[in-house]
Amino acid sequence: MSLPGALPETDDLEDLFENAPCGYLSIGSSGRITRVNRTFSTWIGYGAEYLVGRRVLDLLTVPGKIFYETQFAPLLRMQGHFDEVAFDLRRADGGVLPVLANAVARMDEKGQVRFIRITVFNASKRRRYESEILEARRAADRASADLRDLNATLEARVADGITERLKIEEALRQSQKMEAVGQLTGGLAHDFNNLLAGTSGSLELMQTRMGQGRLTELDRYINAAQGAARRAAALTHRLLAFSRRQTLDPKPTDVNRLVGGMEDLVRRTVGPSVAIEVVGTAGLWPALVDPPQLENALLNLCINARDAMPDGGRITIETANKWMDERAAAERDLAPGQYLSLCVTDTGSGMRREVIEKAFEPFFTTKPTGQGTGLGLSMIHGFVRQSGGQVRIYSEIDQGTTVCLYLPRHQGDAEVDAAATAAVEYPRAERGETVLIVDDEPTVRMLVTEILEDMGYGAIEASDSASGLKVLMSDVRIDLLVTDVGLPGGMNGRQMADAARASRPDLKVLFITGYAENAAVGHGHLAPGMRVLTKPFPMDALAARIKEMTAVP
Amino acid sequence: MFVGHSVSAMVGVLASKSAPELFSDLVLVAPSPCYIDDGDYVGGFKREEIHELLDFLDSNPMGWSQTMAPVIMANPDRPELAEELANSFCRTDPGIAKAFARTTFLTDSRGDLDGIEARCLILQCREDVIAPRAVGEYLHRTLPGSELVVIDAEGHCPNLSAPDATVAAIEAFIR
Repeated sequence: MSLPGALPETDDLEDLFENAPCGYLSIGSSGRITRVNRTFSTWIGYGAEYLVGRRVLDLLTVPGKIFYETQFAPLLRMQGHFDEVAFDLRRADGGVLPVLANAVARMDEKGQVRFIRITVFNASKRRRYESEILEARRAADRASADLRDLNATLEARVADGITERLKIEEALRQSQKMEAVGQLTGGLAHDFNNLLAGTSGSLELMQTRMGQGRLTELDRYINAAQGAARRAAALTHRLLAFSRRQTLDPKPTDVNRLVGGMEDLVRRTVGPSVAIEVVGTAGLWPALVDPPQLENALLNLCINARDAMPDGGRITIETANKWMDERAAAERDLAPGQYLSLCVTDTGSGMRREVIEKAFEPFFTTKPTGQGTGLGLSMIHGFVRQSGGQVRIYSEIDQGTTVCLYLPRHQGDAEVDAAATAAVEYPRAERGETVLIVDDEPTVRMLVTEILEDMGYGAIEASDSASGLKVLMSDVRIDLLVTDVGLPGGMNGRQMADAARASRPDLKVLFITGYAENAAVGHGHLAPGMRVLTKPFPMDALAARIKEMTAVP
Repeated sequence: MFVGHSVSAMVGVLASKSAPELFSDLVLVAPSPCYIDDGDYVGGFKREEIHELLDFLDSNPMGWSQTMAPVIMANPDRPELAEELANSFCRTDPGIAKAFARTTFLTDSRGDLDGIEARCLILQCREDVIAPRAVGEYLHRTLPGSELVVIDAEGHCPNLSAPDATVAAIEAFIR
């Protein structure tokens, strides 16, 4: 059917073939091109006269040739067609024409190929889109890989950051510590220089007065020198207490009795505007603690309490037995078990939280310059921790403060204090007792030897552990070994004493020690027949201790 | 007896060298030990042409390798054909296709042809873009006692374009 003015059918079909929006190629049974349309000729730049008689292969780029031979041609042969395969054609001008091609093999009735029709779509634009899509996909892949990497390393980087921060904080703490050590050293040097000036000045004046024969005036200088030496000893004691390196002499102690004995002194110290109330729990357990240190701590707490109440008030001193279960103990950084508490409560101004947090730091004080050393609470803390206990502060602003010392219970009875009377006359030796004194400091050896001789003891001196041990291994009579703990000669005093006890199992030993050797003398927990005396000590205390130890059979 | 086509032919040669006791006869269909021209040796491709191929693969992974899969699978009435074709082409992973092409076209196995003890039949098409006549002749010269048969066919797959001639040549070799 055709309308008036319509194109003749052959013209129409001719136009459709030649100008279709795709390229047509007909391949004969010989494998050669027999016909192409104008669209294809235009795209590839060759006329029909050039193309007819050539193989499709001749129009392909190298990759196209390889894929055509290895993939498309076998596919066409095996299944009779291929659809939308992509390859590149070589254009007449040397450029590349990317195409998508369909092919179908037309068979005759005997199954032989009559011809192959190839339909070619210009894929230039499509290939460009593909490239863009591919590039976008690669970019997305890269971004997602980066993200994965970021996630994978995030944890490590956070950990690195925290480690770095901890390092910085540690460095800061270290520098703060060094600053504190600096302050401590400076303060110490100042105090000790003052005390040394008093001591050496007194000694010089004694020498001068003795040269002048003015012996009656010696007393005041002796007293001055002794006073300075006592203050120096007290100062090192305080320092060692807060550094927890003092040599404690813990004894089973009845804390109620100790508080009772201090009550008068406390009352006099805090003055009449402050009332003192003592609430001692009946049946209080004994504590294993160094009594003079506990007295010192109690006095310090009461002085702090007084200073918190400039207008007067009340101090309550309480004792109690405490069972610490797991939780209560953990809260106080203690082992679970039985403790007794000694608490001092005031009705004063109270402390802010940040003050409480710093209260145990050395040199921290809220008192005006010149009134507080900042060592009191840190000393108490050091002493109590070294005794196996804990200190806690409970405070409310304008209500008051309670400071509690928790001390471990001693399983056993408290010792009743033997009235320690300091005899002016040194007790005398009775049976020709002999003492071996081992110390690397000649002055100490000389002083101890002189006291021993005054007391009527025989004295043997040794300056190190090797020569001391030699004496101990001989059969010389030795009733008491007095030895320093830190010694040259390959052994410390404790090791030397233990070695000597192999042949002299009943040897009595008195350790005289500075501070750093607490482990060697068992932190005060010594075998029977061994005692410890901390340097510096008054000579009469040494004499009393020697007498006491040699008297026991 | 081993029969291999194209790349597989050379794989068989290398295998027989590794384990000569397993191979008495090798039938090599359109083999090539090296696709790139080298001095007097004619491999059929210049080096830059091979690099053009590899570049094409790099830039065109959505081209042939990805369009092959639907083409092959669109044969619901002939499932056995679909399967055979699927096995014949690297139809799934463009990355693997790329690595395969790189290995195939950049490999030079000429140094491995010494000491091949098996009997060899070299089947060569009259016109083959991939493995030209010169390559078949080179192999024939290099493999001692080998037999060269040139089949009157075009292309790289005589088993498809001239199956009868291919079968006849193999049968003649075996007997």
